[in-house]
Amino acid sequence: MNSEYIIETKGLKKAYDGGQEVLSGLDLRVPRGSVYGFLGRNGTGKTTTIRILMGLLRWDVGRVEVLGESSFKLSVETRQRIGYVSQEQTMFEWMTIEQLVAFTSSFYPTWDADYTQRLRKKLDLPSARPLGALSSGQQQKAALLLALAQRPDLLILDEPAASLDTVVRREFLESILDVLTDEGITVLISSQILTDVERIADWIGILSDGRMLLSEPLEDLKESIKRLRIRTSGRETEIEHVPGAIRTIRRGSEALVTVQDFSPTRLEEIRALFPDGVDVQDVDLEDIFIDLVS
Amino acid sequence: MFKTVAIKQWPEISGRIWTYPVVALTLTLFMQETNPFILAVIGVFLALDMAVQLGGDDVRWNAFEFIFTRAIDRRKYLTTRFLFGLIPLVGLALLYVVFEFADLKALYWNIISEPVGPGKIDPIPLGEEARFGYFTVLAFVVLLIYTTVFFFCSTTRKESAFGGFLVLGFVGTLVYTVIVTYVLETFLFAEAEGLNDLFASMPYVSLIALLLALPAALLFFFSREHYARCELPAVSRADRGSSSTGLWLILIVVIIIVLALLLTMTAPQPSPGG
Repeated sequence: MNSEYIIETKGLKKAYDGGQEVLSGLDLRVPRGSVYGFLGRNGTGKTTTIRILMGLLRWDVGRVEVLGESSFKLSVETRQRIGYVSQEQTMFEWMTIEQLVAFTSSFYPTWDADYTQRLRKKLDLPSARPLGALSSGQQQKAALLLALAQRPDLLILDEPAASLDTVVRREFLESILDVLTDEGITVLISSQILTDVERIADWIGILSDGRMLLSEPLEDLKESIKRLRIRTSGRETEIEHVPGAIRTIRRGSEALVTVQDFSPTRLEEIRALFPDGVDVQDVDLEDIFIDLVS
Repeated sequence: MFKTVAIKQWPEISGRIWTYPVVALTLTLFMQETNPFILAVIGVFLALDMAVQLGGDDVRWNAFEFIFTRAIDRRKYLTTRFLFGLIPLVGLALLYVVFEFADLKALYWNIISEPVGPGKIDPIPLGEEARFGYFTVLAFVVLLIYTTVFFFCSTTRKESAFGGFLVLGFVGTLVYTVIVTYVLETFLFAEAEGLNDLFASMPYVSLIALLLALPAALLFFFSREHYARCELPAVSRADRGSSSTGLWLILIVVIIIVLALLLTMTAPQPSPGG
């Protein structure tokens, strides 16, 4: 497959016991060097996809390649280049951070001991307490520490901040941002906290009904989707004919219409339908996501 | 294999030594009883033990995800776990073959009764059969040292389940060696009075314990790469190479103790005991 993409799936299908198909032909391409926000509603298959990428699950149909290798047969050398933080960590709870770092570091020739110490202090992780005695947030930070300290080429984060409070989540994001300064690292992050994703991602992929609804640069996405505040003034029925509309909210004599494939030409078309006024508003990622998948 | 994934997973595997006294106990029962029902029970128990060994903590707390998302060769990992799980079964099979097809007791007597060589150490004034009991103690000491070394070297020492297994292994060895055999020999096969007679009544168990200690010693030898990563209390934590040296010293001391006791035991007796 194309080496421009660090992760590629083609026609990926996965069904669990009972026949419930979670992935229905997923074509996912994560550009090398990007920070890819992998979004979708609960139950749409994000975690399933990520577990397949990490080789924890077999898939039924299709091709899945990570760093040029089939994800279920990743070589040790390739695994050394992948850092992973899952939603629920399963670590040796009787180990201290110090022991866990010592234990894990031996698997990775690129392990950065100095960076590990700096990051541990930054994340305010105690070195001598067992993991089982730490809070869930601290355990999540420990998992991030392990993933970052190995200096991966690919960092996969599956809902990494779900259990963190606001302050810790900010620290978590800052740690990821620090890593992003490293040239060439690719990040795939799946998160329900879209404000966080919007802060760090430059590519967005939205999963819906087991397939990619869209996959494009965040900047392009925000340029192509706009919210229009339209004064309908007796032309309420025309709202149904707004080109590119993906969601419409009526409010008296006005309507808020989210429009896809927005362009100056399209704006002129809409203004022709509603001469009383059309205001263009930028839409943040959270609103884009809600309007697309709701 | 031992230098790669398996040895790095030693913390999970070392807790399996609790199976050794269990296997020894079942073998003792096996030797005394050929009832098919009991053999079937023993077989089922061993199968369950195998399942626990192969699944172990990975089944209990889903550590497979942590392990399999790291840079580990999964095939080697699973193969090594499987082989470690086979050790008690292989040991049991070998012992079965030996006792079933060889006149081991006669062989045992021949080895013990021959003098080692010139400069013999004065024998311990016990009957000849009583010396066999010292092999039980010897094997027990070896297992005790083995257990202790693992306890301090393994990063599982604070894990409650493994800690419990290690204690169980230690206690189990003690229990079966002294109590179970005493009960069997006293109430079922012979009368034993006093400590001498107690020791004298444990020839087969002695050999069992000693043979079970041998794979333990082999595992210790092959796992030295891991012990290089351990942090023994008496060794500098900053120098992992020193850790390995410290462990080798322990092993050498153990070997010296074993050899000294063997020499003591094989010295000629003034008269055979009754």
